[in-house]
Amino acid sequence: MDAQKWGIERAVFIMLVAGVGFFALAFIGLGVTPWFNINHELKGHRKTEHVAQYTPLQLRGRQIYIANGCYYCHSQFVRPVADDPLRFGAVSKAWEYKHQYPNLLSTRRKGPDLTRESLDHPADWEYVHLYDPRMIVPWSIMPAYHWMFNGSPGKPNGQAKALVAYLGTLGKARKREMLAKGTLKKVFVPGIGTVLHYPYKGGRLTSPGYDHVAFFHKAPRIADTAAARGRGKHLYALDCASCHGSTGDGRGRAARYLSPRPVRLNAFRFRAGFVYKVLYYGRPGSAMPSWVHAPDGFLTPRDLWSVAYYVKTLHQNAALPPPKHPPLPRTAALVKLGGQQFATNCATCHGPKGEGNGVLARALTPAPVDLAMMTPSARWVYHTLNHGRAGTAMPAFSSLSRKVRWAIAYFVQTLAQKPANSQSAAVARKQSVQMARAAGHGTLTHSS
Amino acid sequence: MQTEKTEELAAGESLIEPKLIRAHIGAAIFWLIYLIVGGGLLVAIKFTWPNFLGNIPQFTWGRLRFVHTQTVAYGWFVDIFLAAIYYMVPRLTRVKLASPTLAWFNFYFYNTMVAIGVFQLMEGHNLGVVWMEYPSFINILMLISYGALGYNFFASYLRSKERNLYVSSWYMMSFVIWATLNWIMGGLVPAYVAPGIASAVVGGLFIHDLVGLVVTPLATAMIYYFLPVMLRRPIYSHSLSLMGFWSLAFFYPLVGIHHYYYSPIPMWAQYIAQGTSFMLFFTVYTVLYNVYKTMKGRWGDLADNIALRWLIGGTVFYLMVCTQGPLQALLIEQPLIHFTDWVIGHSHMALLGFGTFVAMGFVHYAWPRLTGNALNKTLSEWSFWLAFIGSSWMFIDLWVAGLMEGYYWGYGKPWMDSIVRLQPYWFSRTLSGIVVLTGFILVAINLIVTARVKQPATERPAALAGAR
Repeated sequence: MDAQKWGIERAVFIMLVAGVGFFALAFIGLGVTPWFNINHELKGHRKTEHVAQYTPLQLRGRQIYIANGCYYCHSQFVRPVADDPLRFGAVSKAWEYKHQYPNLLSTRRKGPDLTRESLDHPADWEYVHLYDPRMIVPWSIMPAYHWMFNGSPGKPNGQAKALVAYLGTLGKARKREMLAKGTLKKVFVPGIGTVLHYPYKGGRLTSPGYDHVAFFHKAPRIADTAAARGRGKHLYALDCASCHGSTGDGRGRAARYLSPRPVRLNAFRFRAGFVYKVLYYGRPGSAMPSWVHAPDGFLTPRDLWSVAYYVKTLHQNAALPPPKHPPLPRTAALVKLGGQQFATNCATCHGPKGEGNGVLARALTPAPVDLAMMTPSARWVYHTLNHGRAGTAMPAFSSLSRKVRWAIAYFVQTLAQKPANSQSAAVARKQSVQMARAAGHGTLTHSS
Repeated sequence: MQTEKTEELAAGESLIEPKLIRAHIGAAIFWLIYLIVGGGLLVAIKFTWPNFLGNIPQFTWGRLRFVHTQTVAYGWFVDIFLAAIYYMVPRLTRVKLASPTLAWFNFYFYNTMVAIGVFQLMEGHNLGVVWMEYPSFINILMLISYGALGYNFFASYLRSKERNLYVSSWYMMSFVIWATLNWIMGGLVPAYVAPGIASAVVGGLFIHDLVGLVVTPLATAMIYYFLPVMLRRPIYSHSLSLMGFWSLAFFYPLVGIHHYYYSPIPMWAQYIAQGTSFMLFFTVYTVLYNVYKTMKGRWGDLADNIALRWLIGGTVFYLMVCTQGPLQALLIEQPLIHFTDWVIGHSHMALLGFGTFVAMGFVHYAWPRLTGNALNKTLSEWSFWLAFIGSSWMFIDLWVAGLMEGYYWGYGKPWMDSIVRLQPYWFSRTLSGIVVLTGFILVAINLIVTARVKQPATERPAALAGAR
């Protein structure tokens, strides 16, 4: 090639071929053609009916999400590789992004993926976390968005409201589609609430997902040793103390802004199996997420048992301030009265045996607690009967006399002692396997 | 190109507009330091102290990050590229700039736009397209700048009587076209025309075209121009340089989808992106083979020619980053490294290592010729080594951090593990950034001091000889 003779005609040639031609080739070949594919998918599928158009508030929230660069650290696509589906849920499909201008897929994950965010966290959690992420996740490096609030997480201004409204849309379309198609099923787990599962068919998962339940329920229960409690204490300080308080008094930094308030763990004697169950599923209708998938944690069965054993040790008798009037002494007659009153007042929701499976239980979010799996202190029951539990369906039973309230309190304490009166590992393990069966052998996905 | 022609090109002082070039270099260096101080460094500090400057919306992580990236691409790089174009084109075409007035207008206009862009991003006005975050009115106004550049640029070539079209001209011509087309594509399609995943397809093309069709061609044009004039010897092979050019022009526009591997983008497009990304080996190795063959027997020049050292340093980073690139664009690598700090290390090596070092080679070569004074030797040495050590430290730190992050995720560790365990690496990255920043501040001081010295004209040749 003799460069000497090449002149201006050559320049025009270069500009047309290399400059415009190859660029256009790439734009048409790899920019426009996949777009046809995607459009085809959008048009051919009735799935897109599940994608709701953004409301003006959600759209404004989306603008705030963009303006503050949320999309740089939080990706919005779940890949069919690595740990993505286990952590973040169903693999993303093109139609889910129908109304998005521009896409917010992102190329970076400094924080967790948010594709299915609305299924993991309710609004109250989002507000506290936005106001100061370190109130909930102590080692978070996310910026605090104080200026979206009027002084406290309980007082969001327009920006925070719009942003949380937008976060509430993430993952909704896919959930609707999967529920309609039956690749996702709602299952009521007593004492926990309505959770979502991928169902099995012929021994195989009916949709892309991972066999979480098999992993978690075949895993042997570890022994309740000092080492396990030590590990549990470490994890509790890391993940739980910010809401439940470092002593389990339910007064963590985030607690007062959550509704319902985090449970006062030190007022209960839990069965480890139940704590395990709550950690596994989360508590739908409250800020308590699942700790086995979800962005929040990715804990192993071993970790869950460790935390469960540690939570058991938090119990303190004097956890509550003493009531105004001295408690009535516990007598057999009082417990019997309590039993009658429980059947009248409590069993519709909590179930005749207090197992959280009353006739109304399925309709309530959060679902009534399973009193057969934990023994509250009498004072706590009395306190709850007096005040109800804000943010839940539990009302204040102020019409009941003081005697009846103490009677119920003493009765409730007996509920957990009934089944076999044994907390041996074998029984608890059997229960956890039954729990898995009841749930339909599906992979756990997000509680809703 | 024959040696005499090389000499001729190195001369040609009368054709250029020294003040215009100096202004662009000055603005570029200003943006370079601003993007580190006002963007990168603050962002890096926030990894360790998330509440640092936390109560001011304009100074939150998410906003400053875009100040950093947008100013890298459109402040520092475009300004320095304009300077290089104004320096190279009159010499290559042997005609003066068609309209210096327009070029001066463009200088003020463009930099005002970048400044407004920084302000807008900090105020939270953001288009939401990755690497195209300026709000749309700035994008539209910036088209005026591309038009002004295009007018001056092509007028030079059309009026030229030079029948010899050097390879740098090829790269620059394509740059002007690509930059404009890419600007229109990126600003228009993802945000307004293509919805959802289709916008990711075009957005991916845009991201990589910005690196491959804007930064790379101009940096390569600089290498091909300044390497021969620094060494006073012709480039090793013209055929190779043309092969490098055509393979870049063909393959680079096709690779962009590798930014969204395993997304809902149709898999066939991802496979094509994987193949074309791998073909970049060919592009890069032909260019670098040519460069290193030209260097043959002259490596000793690196000892005292600081401009050559920046330039060759840049090509070494180019070799590394583009060996990494095609390999990490394999789908098999992606589950591990995608989304991690590895990619940040990689992109820093492309823009800070390759692009910036090559541009610094141009600055250190041109500045003594524009001012008539030699650069301070000690400052030059310090600035080069600080930037070189600091940036290498940063790249390695980020790769290690990225691999750790990938393994933490892949082995199913809790999310926060990947945050807590990486803290030391992020702190170390901040320190490396401070070292790089110090290097560039020394460059700025060196340039300012050199420009201010008044020397009698008779001493100039001696001063210049020292700079070479």
